[in-house]
Amino acid sequence: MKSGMDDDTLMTRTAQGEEEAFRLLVLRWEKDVLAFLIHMLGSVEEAEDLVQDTFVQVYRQAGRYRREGLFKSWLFRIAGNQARSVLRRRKILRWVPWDRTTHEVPAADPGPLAHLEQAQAAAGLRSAVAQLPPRQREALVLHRFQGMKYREVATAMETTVPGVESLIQRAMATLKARLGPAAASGRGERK
Amino acid sequence: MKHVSDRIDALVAGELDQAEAQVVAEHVAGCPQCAREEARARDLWQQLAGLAVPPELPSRSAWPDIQARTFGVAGNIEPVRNRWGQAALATVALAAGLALAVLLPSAGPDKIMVATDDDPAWGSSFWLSEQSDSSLSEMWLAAADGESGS
Repeated sequence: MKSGMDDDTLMTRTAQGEEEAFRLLVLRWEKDVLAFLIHMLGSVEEAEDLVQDTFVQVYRQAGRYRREGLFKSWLFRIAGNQARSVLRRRKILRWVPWDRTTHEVPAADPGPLAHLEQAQAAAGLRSAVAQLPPRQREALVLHRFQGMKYREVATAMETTVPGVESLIQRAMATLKARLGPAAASGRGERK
Repeated sequence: MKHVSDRIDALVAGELDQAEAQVVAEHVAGCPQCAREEARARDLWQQLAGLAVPPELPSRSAWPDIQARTFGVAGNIEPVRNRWGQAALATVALAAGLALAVLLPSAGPDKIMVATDDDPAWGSSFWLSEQSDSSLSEMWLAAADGESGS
């Protein structure tokens, strides 16, 4: 089977039970999905688990996939749902103190990447990205890191293009505020 | 309708059509404040580009595990998890319960309960409760091993 086959064709063949077609899809997209999930969760191990879950869902839902050339958006919608599910669970994973008068409920996790070395500018930025609200982070990661256009991000996140623009605008504003003047320090090369 | 300055991020992201981009660019050219914002946005945009690939990205393929869960002999078997298994988590919960019993004030709880629950939507959870004269409190752990819908 040709590895250059387009995603829609591979999905059609996957729905027909062709293992090689599914394997080619997995090999083509798994690194992008893994990178996205690492950005969303800040944990390589959890991200690796969800890569499996994402592609198992792709396989199970292959018969319902419509050939519209939007495989990437469809794939990342599944991956995003998986990530959001984990993030929702994290919100309630906490210790409840037995003495409420002397113990405070621990603060929310500042972000999965917050403990990386702050001395490195890239790590600081990664940390700031990791601390964005999940939907802002998801929109930013899909657009900036996965190279998806706003309309593709909108499809993946089941929202509108203006909604995506608003999410990214708020994400950028938050990053600028958190990074302060460093964001404009010229570390990034102008093109 | 959005103010021109609200479209700067979209301009930098290359998401404006030609006409919109021209309007915003012309405004930026004549507005020092927006010009600073645009420069700042472009710098940040460039820095973000360098983060696309996480440095910890593993090189191994997930295909063997995915294959086992789809086309494998067993078919749709449970995921090959990196996380602790339920048994390990139960052990932690029990250990935490014992620690709680030891560390609590001498007045101590009247009882400590260790219980488990399996919920297909939320996975397995383990919790500890202690009851004393004045209060009831509890702590619990949840294993994130439930099947998540899409």
